[in-house]
Amino acid sequence: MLFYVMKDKEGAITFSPIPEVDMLYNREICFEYKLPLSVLEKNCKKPKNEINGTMSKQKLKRILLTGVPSIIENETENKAEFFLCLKKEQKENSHKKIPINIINQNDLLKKIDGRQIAEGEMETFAKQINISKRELIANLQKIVLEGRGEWVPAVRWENGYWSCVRCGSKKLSAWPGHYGIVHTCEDCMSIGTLSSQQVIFRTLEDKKTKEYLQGNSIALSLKNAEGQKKIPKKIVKNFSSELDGDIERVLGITFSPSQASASKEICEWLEIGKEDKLLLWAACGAGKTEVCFPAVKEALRKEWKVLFAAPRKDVIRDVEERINVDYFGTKALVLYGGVAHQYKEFKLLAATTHQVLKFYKAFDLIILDEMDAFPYYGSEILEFGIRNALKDGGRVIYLTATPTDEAIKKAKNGMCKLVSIPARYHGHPLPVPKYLRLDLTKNFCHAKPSDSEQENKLKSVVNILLLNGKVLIFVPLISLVKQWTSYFSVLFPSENVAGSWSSDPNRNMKVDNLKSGKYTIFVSTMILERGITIPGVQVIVLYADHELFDRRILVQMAGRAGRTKEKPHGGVVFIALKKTLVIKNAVRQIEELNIKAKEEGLLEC
Amino acid sequence: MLEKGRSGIAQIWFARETKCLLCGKENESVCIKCRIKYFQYSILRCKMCGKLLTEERELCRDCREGRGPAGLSRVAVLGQYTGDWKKFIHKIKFKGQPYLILEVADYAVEMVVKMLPPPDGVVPVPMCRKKVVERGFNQAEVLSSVLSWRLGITYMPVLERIKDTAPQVGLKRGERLENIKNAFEYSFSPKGITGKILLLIDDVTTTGATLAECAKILHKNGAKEVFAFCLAAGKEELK
Repeated sequence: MLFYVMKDKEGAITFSPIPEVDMLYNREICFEYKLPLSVLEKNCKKPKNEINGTMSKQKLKRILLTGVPSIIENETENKAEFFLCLKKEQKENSHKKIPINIINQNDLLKKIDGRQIAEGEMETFAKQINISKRELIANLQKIVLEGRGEWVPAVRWENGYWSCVRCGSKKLSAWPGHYGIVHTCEDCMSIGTLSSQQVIFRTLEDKKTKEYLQGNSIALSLKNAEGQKKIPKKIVKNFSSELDGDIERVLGITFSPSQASASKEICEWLEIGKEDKLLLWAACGAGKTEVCFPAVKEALRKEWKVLFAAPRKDVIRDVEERINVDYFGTKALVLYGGVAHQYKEFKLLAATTHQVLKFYKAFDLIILDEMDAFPYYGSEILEFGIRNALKDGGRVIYLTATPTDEAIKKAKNGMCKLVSIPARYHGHPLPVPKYLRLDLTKNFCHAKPSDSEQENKLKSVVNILLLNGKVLIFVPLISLVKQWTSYFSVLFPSENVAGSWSSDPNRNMKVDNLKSGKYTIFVSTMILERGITIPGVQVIVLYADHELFDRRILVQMAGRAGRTKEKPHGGVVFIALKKTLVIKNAVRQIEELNIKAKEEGLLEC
Repeated sequence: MLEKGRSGIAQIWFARETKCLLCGKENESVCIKCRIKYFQYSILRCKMCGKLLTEERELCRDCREGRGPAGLSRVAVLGQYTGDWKKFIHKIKFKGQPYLILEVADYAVEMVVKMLPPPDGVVPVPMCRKKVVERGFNQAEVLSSVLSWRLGITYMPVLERIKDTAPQVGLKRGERLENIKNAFEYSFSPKGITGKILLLIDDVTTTGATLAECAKILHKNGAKEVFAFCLAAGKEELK
């Protein structure tokens, strides 16, 4: 999109893609070329280049065309002459000549509130609301002129660097374009390519709501100053007990004492907590998601915008089913890759972390599930996205069963509040993994059953586990899945054996079959490692000393066993040649959680 | 600053991992599987319009029946316009990544050398200025400048688009011919093109209407012979 340079009566400079709209606001074009916003911005940002409308044309040209190839000077397509040579009367009437359908601004604002819309997405959006792209841009420009939105170059020159506005990445590829060097962002290509020739529209927070919020926070701080701890705590306690009753009645969930106290703690933090982040560390299968529901409801009651984000699509789809309209009083908007982006008004959004990149200062409360999982963990752009989507003064709740060392350190340093649930909701301890020493590489390398001692050991272990239910077997590599599937199907001809991996075309079907109990032995890679509940499953981890398995992954895999109330017991066996430090640490962490739960009296047996 | 230095050092020490641009799997800029699948070296091309042929013939059905593009001695085509190759070309054209052309330049050069006689100049099919202004580049110009650089042949942008035409996509044969008629003009070049063999470059060809129209102008201004090269073309369907 190309921008015209406009000036108002005092000579202040603004940029506009559709000058007719600006003319309604008594602005005039003052420069004869139109250019990409990134070029205009960069040239104006240099310290000596302060421009205003009263400057001579020569000087303006010298400043604004720095770094732009001279070829554009003779091209009529770049010129704004049509508008420049209009007479005054014609200018006033020009908006009537080119019909622009100005639609209801408030309706439009509600639909796009908190979003950043890239140039490439505008076509689909315009189609959704039945206007042309040009009309949409005109309407957006009107919002900009009213101070409720802004245009930003998609890749922007800032502090001496070019960086992507949407994902914050500095990993760009440059190429010579029509208006000088163009930069294309390489990191967020998967949700639509952005280059410095393009622009993003984003909404700014409404002044009125801002004032309202500020007023509120002042009132709150006054309250705190008066009555320090006593008054707010009582209110909260009453309130959360009320919520507990609600959640039992509407959702049919009974919180265990540990869950109830955790959810109370979260509600309290939401009301008066000083830290803006909270880490909920709960054992695998403790019901993390549900624990947050009262807090979400409370936030929604305050008319906050809430985001439920997770790195994986499966988790979001799972949550979508659990979000109950009766309880929250609103339907959640759901976004993940493969679903067309819907421009709708929403209060509660469930989205994958990649989709969050499309929002800017939109949420007061973000709940990030499985914060230590791929692809969120270790991805700078997704972290940037979450930070960017949070309103100033907004809050984040991180949920995890296996926090990273950094996260624990942060909590200990007081940078974020730590709430932990050491026990499962059904009150049974976490199954502690047992270790079995087997040389898998030597005796099983061809995966053909032989009558060796080692094999008999493995067979007996699987047989014992099969007594309690189906067996889930984890292997570190995709290539091993097929090998072990065929091996087990020969070893146990009477059992139903299957295997799956991330790029398996039948993955969804196989996982559904596993849940319904069609398979009794299931071999998989790390795809089933987290977020999934399979009733009555027993876990074996082969090659547990493999370098791909770290402590967190081992704990998660062990956490698949015994998750349901009906079958709270489960066996977990790590099979490896060496008992590595990673295995020891994983076992120790599970034991520590069990001890902690026992001390707090959360275990029933 | 520190970050920049660190990444610089990393670039020295570690080879950058390349993945196939089409399927995203193997460690090659275009992996052998995709080359076989989309470039289809073993399949013959129609000598007149460049379409990929399923039978062993010299010309496709359209060209045999006299509906092919006129004025072109031969058209060479790199790959079939489907699947990942189509997506790749769309990435170049519509998603602001013209530098990706560099990655396939080797294969393009190979194809030009194998299929066509050495030309005197490379001529890109021009794009209407409005679109260039919007997009920031003309993919045919980028491709021809790459080819001219790699092959050491003069770059001759001697054509100009004088008419804004509707995109050819979705039009029928007759409509395409009508649409593109008189859209180009010869613009002055200091050495002239009289008696020269020229190589016309475009990104995608289907009926060859655009190429034929360009060739007509070039012949009118004294070109001896006109060849053409495109990144992609359709495949002839057998009924």
